[in-house]
Parts: sequence; structure tokens; C-alpha cells
Amino acid sequence: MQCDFFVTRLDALLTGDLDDATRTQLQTHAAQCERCGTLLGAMQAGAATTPPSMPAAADTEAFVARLLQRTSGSACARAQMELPDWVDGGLAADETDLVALHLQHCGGCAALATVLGALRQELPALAHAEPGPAFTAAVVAATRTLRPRRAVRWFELWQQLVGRPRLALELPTAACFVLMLLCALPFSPFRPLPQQALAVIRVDAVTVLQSAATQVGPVLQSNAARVWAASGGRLESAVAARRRTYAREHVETVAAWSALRADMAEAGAGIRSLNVARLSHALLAMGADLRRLFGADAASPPATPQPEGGSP
Amino acid sequence: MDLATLLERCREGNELAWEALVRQHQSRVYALATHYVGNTEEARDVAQEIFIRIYQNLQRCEDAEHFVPWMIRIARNACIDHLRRRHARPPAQDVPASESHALVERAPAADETWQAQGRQRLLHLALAALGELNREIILLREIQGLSVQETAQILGVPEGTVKSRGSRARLELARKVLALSGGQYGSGPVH
Repeated sequence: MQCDFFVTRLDALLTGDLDDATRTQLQTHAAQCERCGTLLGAMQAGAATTPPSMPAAADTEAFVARLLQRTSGSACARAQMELPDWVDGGLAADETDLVALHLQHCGGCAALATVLGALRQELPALAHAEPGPAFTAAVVAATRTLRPRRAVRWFELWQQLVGRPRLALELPTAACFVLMLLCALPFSPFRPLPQQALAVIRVDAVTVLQSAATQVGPVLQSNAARVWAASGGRLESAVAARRRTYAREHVETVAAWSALRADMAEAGAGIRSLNVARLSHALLAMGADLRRLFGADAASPPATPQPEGGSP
Repeated sequence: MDLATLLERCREGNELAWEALVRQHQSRVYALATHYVGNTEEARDVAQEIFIRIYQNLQRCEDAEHFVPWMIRIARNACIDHLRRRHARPPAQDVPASESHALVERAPAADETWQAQGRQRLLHLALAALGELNREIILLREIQGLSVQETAQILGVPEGTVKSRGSRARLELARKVLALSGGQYGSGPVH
């Protein structure tokens, strides 16, 4: 018999799980082989003196704790993180089993789970507390003179809006921005609006000029006739000089109106292109044109402003 | 009478309906004020102020389903206003600043012996020991029973924060309770 065969059957020999033939065969081999006989004797002696026993529970826990410390670390942090969901029943089945298994062996986490469960039952009870028998009467008395506000939302919103101290500045600014956006955006339906407004202004200006001319002309003619009749030929030269003056002024007036029209068009272009510099130059030029037409410094015609190109 | 009808009557100026509404919700409002203010006498005054605000703004609450969250929001704002006023207003008597601070600090401590007589008082103590956001999440979610969305809206934080902080707040509260009760809370009444 080979010694290897003896060694593999040694446990069964000690526990008596072999048939008679094999046991006899092994015992014969132990008697003939010194090494295997010594091994059998030692095993039989050990089994007699130290009976097998399970380690104590505390030893097992300490062993597991040491093992976890050396490998993954303590599982308590993870278990405690999942305890609220475990108490609520919000964990998956396998995770629930894992937490439950941990709680069987961890007193600290088990106590925490017990408190969490108790809190879940008892916290809603804190939602109510009696303020005393006189409380309702006091509240009703305090609100007796009041009335529920109606439409309070829009009213308060309006009050807050109007009550802003800078509303007078903010409102025109916002309106200007809205107007500029409406008129300057390429896809805006209001894009031709400035041009149309300028056309209206232009037509009106010409109409006013024509009506003024029709009114002033006959007056001048009648005055001239009366003066001519009163002064005779003595004033002929003076009238001729006045006529020349009127003619010169008429030419200047027409020129000023032409310049005004051009500046209006320039201002419109400035608005459309969002070019503030161009717009401001055009507005300044329009002011100068208006002064030439109606102002006191008609004798000194202003210099024609040159629009400067700028980045929009 | 259901809440929607009650609210409609209150809006119409029906005093009986208003009284019924106050009786229905006064315990909840008073408890909330007590949690925030920490003093029963002041809480009673604050609760009255809360009801006055509710009465004046009843038109704003158009949906009876959202009345309780709306009421809790008003209550919370009123409590915070009261705490700010109390913080800004110095005590009437001539007390040095350091002592007045100590008085405020000692007020809950003076109740400790009384509070330690029951589980609910122990819970009050543990709640007071929590951080501000955790305490409010516990107060609104677990005690008042608001949803995550409603709690997030009232506190002005994301819903995810309410969820994550809610679990942590409960855990922290459980630890505080265990520490205050000496590990005896879960097993029975604490005396």
C-alpha cells in the first residue's frame, strides 16, 4: 500500500467511516510502516486529548472585525448610511438582507436602527400641540377688525412697481430699448417704421412751409402795395433791395430744409444701424438746421456736420 | 365641511368659518412656532401673528390642496421674522452683552430637567442639538409630513439636497437621541 493512500484515508479511519476490509488494510500498513504508524498514533492521541470545539461568538466577532479592518474597513458606516432607507423599507431585497445580517452582529447599528424605527413612529406626534383654551378666541378677536384682502396680489405688485424710486428713469430707458429693438432687428415687422415716420415728418414740413408761404405771400404783397402807394417811387429802390433780401433768404431757407431732410435721413440710418455716433451727429445737424430755419442765428449759418463712421 | 368650502367661506368674510379654520389648524401652527421659537409664551404670540397673516392673505391661497404647505410657509416666515426681531432688539434691562447672550443660551438648558421626563421632550432636546438645515428638514418632512418638493420649495434648496440631507438628519437625530438617553430610547419610555 502506498503511504499516500494511507494519508488520504486517515481522517476516515479516525472517524470510523471505512468498511472493514479497508480499515484492516490501513491498520496493517500502519503496523508495517513506521512513518504512517507514528502519524496514526499522533492523530489518535490528539483526538483523545483535544476534542474539537467551535470558537466563542465573541472570538468570531473579534475575528471578523480584525479581518474587516485589514481588508475593506468597517461596514458600520455603510450600514448606518442605509439605515434610514432600511427602516422605511426603501432598499432592494438583497441590500435589505445584507443590512439585516449586519444588524444581527452589530449592537451599535442595531440600537440605531431601533431608534430610527421609533422616531419614524413618534416624530409625527410632534406636529401638534395645544396652545390653550383661550387661543382661538384671541385669534378671532385679533382678526375681527380685519378683512381678507381682495385682489391683493395685483395691487401690491402695482404698488411695488410704482413705488420704485427710479421708475421715472427706468421706464423711459426700457421703452427706448424696446423701441430700438423693434425698429432695428432685421426680422422685425417694425423695421420700416422709422423711414415711414420720417416720410410723414417730411411731408408735413413741406405742407407747413407751403401753407406758410401762401399765407405770408399775400400779406407781403398787400403791404408792399400799400407802402408803394404811400411812399411812391421814393421807396422803389428800398423795395427792390427788400425783394433781393427776401430772395436770398428764400434760397437759404430752401437750402436749410434740404439739409434738414438729409439729416433726418441720416438719423434714420443711424437708428437702423444702431450707430450711436452717427445718430448723435445727425441729431446735432438737425438742431443746427432748425436753428438756421427758425432760430436767432440765421445770419451765421452753421457748419454742416460730417457724419463719422463707427462700429455699430 | 371640506377645506375648500371652508376656505371659500373664509374669503367671503364668514367669521364662523374662520373660527373653524383656526380650530382645525391651531395645534399645528402652535407646534411649529414652538419648534422655531423655543418658548411657549412667545410661540403663542407668534402663532396669533401667523393666523393674522393667513387671514389677510387668504386670497392668495387658491387651492385647498396646497393650503397646509402654504400655511407652513407663512408660519416659517413669521417665526424667522420674530427671531430676527428678537435678535435685533436688546433686552429692556441694563444687562451686559455677554450676559444677555448667556441668558439666551441658558433658556433651553433651564428646561432640560423638565424635558428629560418624557420621550417627546427628549426628542425636543435632540432636535435642538441638530444643525439648522437638518432640524428644518426633520421638522417639515418628518414632523409636518410635507413632501420632498414642498420642503425644497419652502427651504429654497434643491430636492436632491432635501433627500440626501433628510436621511443624514434622521441618522444624526437618532444618534443624538441615543446619546441623550444613554442607549435606552428604543427599549421603552425614558424617565
